[in-house]
Amino acid sequence: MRSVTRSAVVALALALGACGNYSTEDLRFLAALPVREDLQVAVPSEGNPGALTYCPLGRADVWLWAKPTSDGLNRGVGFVISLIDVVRHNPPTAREENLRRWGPFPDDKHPGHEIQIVMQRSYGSDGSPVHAYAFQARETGVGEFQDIIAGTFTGASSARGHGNVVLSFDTIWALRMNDDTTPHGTMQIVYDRTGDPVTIELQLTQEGFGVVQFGYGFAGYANGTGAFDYRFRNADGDVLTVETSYDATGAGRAEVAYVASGGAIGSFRECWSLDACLTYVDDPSSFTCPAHTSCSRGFFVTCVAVPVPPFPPP
Amino acid sequence: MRRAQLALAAAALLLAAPASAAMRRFAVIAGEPDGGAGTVRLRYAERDARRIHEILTRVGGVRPEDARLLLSQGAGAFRAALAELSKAAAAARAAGDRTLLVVYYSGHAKDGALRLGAGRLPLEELRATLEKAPADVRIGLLDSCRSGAIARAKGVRPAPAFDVKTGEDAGPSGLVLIASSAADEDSQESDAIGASWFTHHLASGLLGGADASGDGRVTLAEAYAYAYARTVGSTASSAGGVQHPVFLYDLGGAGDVVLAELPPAAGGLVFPSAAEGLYVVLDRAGRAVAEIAKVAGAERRIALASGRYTVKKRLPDDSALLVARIDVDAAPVAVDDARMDRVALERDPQKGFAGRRVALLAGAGPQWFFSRAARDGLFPPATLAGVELAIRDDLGHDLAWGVDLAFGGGNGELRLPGVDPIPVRFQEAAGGASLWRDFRRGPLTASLGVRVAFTWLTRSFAAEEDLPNQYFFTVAPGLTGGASWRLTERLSALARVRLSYLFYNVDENRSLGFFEGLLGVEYALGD
Repeated sequence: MRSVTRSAVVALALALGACGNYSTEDLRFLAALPVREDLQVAVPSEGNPGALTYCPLGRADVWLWAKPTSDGLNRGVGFVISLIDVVRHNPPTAREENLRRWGPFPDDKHPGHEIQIVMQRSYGSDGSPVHAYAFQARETGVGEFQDIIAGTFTGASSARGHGNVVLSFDTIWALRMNDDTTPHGTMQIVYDRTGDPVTIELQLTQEGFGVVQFGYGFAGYANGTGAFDYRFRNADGDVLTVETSYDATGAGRAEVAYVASGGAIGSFRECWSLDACLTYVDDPSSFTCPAHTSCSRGFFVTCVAVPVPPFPPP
Repeated sequence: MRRAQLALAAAALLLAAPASAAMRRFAVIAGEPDGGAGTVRLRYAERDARRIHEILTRVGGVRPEDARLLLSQGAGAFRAALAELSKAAAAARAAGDRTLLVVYYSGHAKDGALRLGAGRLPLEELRATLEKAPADVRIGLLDSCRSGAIARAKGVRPAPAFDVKTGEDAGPSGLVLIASSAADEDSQESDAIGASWFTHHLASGLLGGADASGDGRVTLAEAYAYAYARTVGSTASSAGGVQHPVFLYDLGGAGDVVLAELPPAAGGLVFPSAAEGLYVVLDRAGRAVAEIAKVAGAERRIALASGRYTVKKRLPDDSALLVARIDVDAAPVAVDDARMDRVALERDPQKGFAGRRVALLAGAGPQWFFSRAARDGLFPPATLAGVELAIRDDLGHDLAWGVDLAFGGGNGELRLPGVDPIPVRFQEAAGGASLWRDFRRGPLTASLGVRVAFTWLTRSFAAEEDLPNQYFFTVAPGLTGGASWRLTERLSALARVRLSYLFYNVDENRSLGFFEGLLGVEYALGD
C-alpha cells in the first residue's frame, strides 16, 4: 500500500513536471560550510608607512611582515574554499534527510579524475547540528575516493559556530592532481566563531603559499583589536617567530624569538605606533641593530594597550 | 411590391423634408443581449446597437453629443437617457429648432415589455413616452421578438411600405413606430451576418441601399420599405420562420423624414446604373457591413467610413463569385463588375460571425500561499502583474478560453534555525491557459472556470552572495473566477481570483495551495 502511494506521488510529480533546486534544506547544509570571510586572517594593513614617513627610532619591520604573512595564509584558505565552493554552483546529486552528495563528476581541471563532495548532518547533545563533510577524489573509476579535504562544523551557520578543516596536500600529490606550486604535508584550520574574539588556527606541516611551517594563530575582536602569532624568514635567512597583539589602529606590541641564519638564538620586544614606527625596543642582544652597541631605545610607556599583551611591563 | 416601393420613393423624393440641416436630431440607442430569466442571451444585440449608433452619427445627422449608446445598461439607464434627451429636445424646440427623436432597441421583448436585463419596460410605457416626447418627430425602432405588439392598439399591420401623408404644414410631425417582427413572430439573428436580420437590412438601407430615388437621401419610408423586403426575403426559408416587420405611422405635416444623407462627394461605394444583383460589402475581418439588392436602372451609393472593404457578388447562376477589394477614403469609389475578380464559391471571403469576441486584459494583484511555513521564505507573498488574451463565445455560447502571462515577485525573509534571517528576493513568471463560463447580467459578467499554469519560481539572496539562486518549475492547476463591470463600450473593470495547487517536491513532497487576486481592466478588441 505504501509503495502504491509512493508510486502515485511520483507519477503525479512526473505528470506535473515539478523540478528545480528550490531547497531550503540545501541552504541549511550550505550554511554550515565555511566561506572565505569565515577563515580569513585579517590583520590591519594601514600600518605600512609611506616612503616619506620618518621614524626616529626606526621602522617596525617585524610588524610589517604580518600582512604578507597573513596574505600567504589566506591564499591557503582560498585554495580550500575554491574546492568547497563547487557545491555552491551545482545542485546536489543526491538528497537524503541528513545527507547531501554532489557528484561524482569529472574534474575538469584534472582530466582522468572525478570528484565528489559528501555532507552528513547529525545533532549534538544540545541539539546543535553537526556537519561532517569531505571533498574526495580518485582517478576515474579506480579505487576508493580519498579525502582531499575533511571537515566538521558544529552550529547552524558557519558565521556562528566552530569547526575544523584538514587539507591533505599529500593526497593531492598521491592522486597526481598537483601542480608545481602545490605544497606537501597538510594544512589544518581550526576556527571558532561562537564568541569574541573569533579565533583561527592554521597548522602548516610543510612550507607553502609563501609562508613557513608553523602553527599560526589569529584572534580578531569585534572592536578591531586582535592578536596574531606568526613566523617568517627574513631576507637574511633569519627565522623570526612573532607573538603580536594590536589595537584597532594597528599600533601594537610584539615578543619576537629569532633563530639567526648563523644559528644564534635570542629574543627581543618592541612596540610601534599606528604608522609602524617603533616607539619602544628592548633588544639586549642587539639583533635589530647589529651596528650599534645597544638597540634598546624609547620608553615602554609609549606602548599602546592591546587585548593580549605578549610581554609584561619591564 | 416593387411598384409600391417605387411609388413611395417617388413621393418621398418630392416631399422629403430638408434633412439634418433643418432638424436637430436626438437618438437613444440600446443593445440589450440579456432578457432575464427564461431567455437566451442574444449574440448580436450590442453589435446591432453600435452599428445603428455609428450610422446615425455619421450619416444620420445626429451629433455625437445628442446620441446615447446604451449597451447592457438596463431599463433604468434607458429611461434616464430617454428623459435626458427628451429634455434636450424640448430645449432645442424652445429655441426654434425642429426636432427629431429616434429610439432604437435591439434585445428581448416578451409579454408586452422590452426586457432589459432584469428590468422591464412595458411597450405601452415606451409608446406613451414617445407619444408625449417633446420632439416634432418621434421614431421608435424595435428589433425584438414580438415587438409588433407595441403598435397593436392602433392596428399595426405588416406591410412593405407605408404611405407618406402630405399636407400644408411646414414639416412632418408625429410618431412612427417600426418593429422588426409581428406581435406573434420571433425576430431572428444570423451568425452569417453577425446581426439580427432586420437591423442588418435597416443598416444597409440607411447606408444607401434603400435610396430608391437616388437622390442621396434615405427617407424613413425608403428605409422601412427596404428593410421590410429584405428581412422577409432573408427569413423566408429560415428555420425560425418568416419575419414580417410592422409599423405604426402617425405622422402629420408635409414631407417624409430623411434618416440619412449621402453627400455626393463623401466616401463610399457607387454602384452604377447598369449594376444588378445582390452585393455584400465586407469589412477587413470579412464581416458584412452592408448588403445591397441592386436593380438596374439607377445608380446607388453606399456611405462607408474610410477603410478597406471587400465587395462580393454572387453570380446569378451560382457558378462563382465576383470579388473586389476597395479602399474607401474621402471620395466615392465605383464598383464595376468588369473589374471584379471571379473566384470559386468555396473561396467566399465572407467569414461570417462565429460569435467569437476577443479581449485583452491587464492587471495586477497579490499572490499568497495558504501555508505559513511556505510563506516564510519558501514562497513569500508577492505581487504579480499580467496580461491575458480572452476569447469569448468561441467554444460555445458563454464559453471562453484565454492565455495569460504574469510576472512579479516579492521580498521576504528565510528563517532557518540558529541562523539570522536571510533576506530573500522572490520572483515568478507564469503562463497559463484558462477555460471558463461567463454568466452575464447587464453590465456585470461573472465567470468561473479552470486554469493550468506553467510557473517558474526563483529566489535569490542578495545579502548572502555565497548562497546560490534557486529555481522551481511546475505546473499549477486551479480554479479561476472573476467579475467584470462594463464601463464603456469596450472597457470594463475587472476583478479576478485564482485558487491554484502547487506540488512541491524538492525537500519533501508537499501539496500547497495559493491564492492570486487581480484587479485590472479589460479592453474588447473588435466587435
